[in-house]
Amino acid sequence: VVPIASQEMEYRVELFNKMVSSCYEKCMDKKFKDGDLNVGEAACVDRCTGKYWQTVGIVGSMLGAADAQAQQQQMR
Amino acid sequence: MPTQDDMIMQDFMNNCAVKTVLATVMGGFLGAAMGVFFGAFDPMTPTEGEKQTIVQQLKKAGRSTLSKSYSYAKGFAAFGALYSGSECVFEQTRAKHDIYNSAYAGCFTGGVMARSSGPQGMAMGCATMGALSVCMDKFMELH
Repeated sequence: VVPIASQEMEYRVELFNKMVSSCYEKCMDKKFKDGDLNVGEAACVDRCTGKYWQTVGIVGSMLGAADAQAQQQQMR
Repeated sequence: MPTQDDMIMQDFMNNCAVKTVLATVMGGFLGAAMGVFFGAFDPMTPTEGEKQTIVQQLKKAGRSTLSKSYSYAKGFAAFGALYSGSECVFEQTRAKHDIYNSAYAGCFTGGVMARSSGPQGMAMGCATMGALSVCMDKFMELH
């Protein structure tokens, strides 16, 4: 059980890092004239994470369906 | 990492309604100050040749200054509310932070403030205010 949990933890950490990195690349203005997020960037990060999470959900459910199908075919 | 208090404050300040209210209040104060400043330059001629006492003249000047500063305050507050609100809405919609937000907000504000002088006046107001806000932002180097 522990190896599965640790692998799950690694996947989650990887997901978090990828999400933060991709939304940072997409949304942040690299001129750094200010240290705080302004309105546009805050809205962008909000929407970026929302879309990313929905993508994770859709792809995850598709993978789960493919897995379930493969398992069903194996059991026959 | 920002603390929880920092993030709450940032969320509060990045809100469009809060920004509009703040800009309205500041515009009102600025308008009142300018009204008082310019009211001091009004010529204080005595009416109908009557000789009024100093106190009466001061009271008349005070009333005219108050009404002037009230009208200035209204104008500046409306201007501030329009500019700040429209800039915030444009920036949230575009999800980008660049100079075009100021240009669009200036155009919108100029157009609305000049709405009583027909489409040509609105176009002129839009162009003028847009150029002015772009120049001001470039000068303040916020973008």
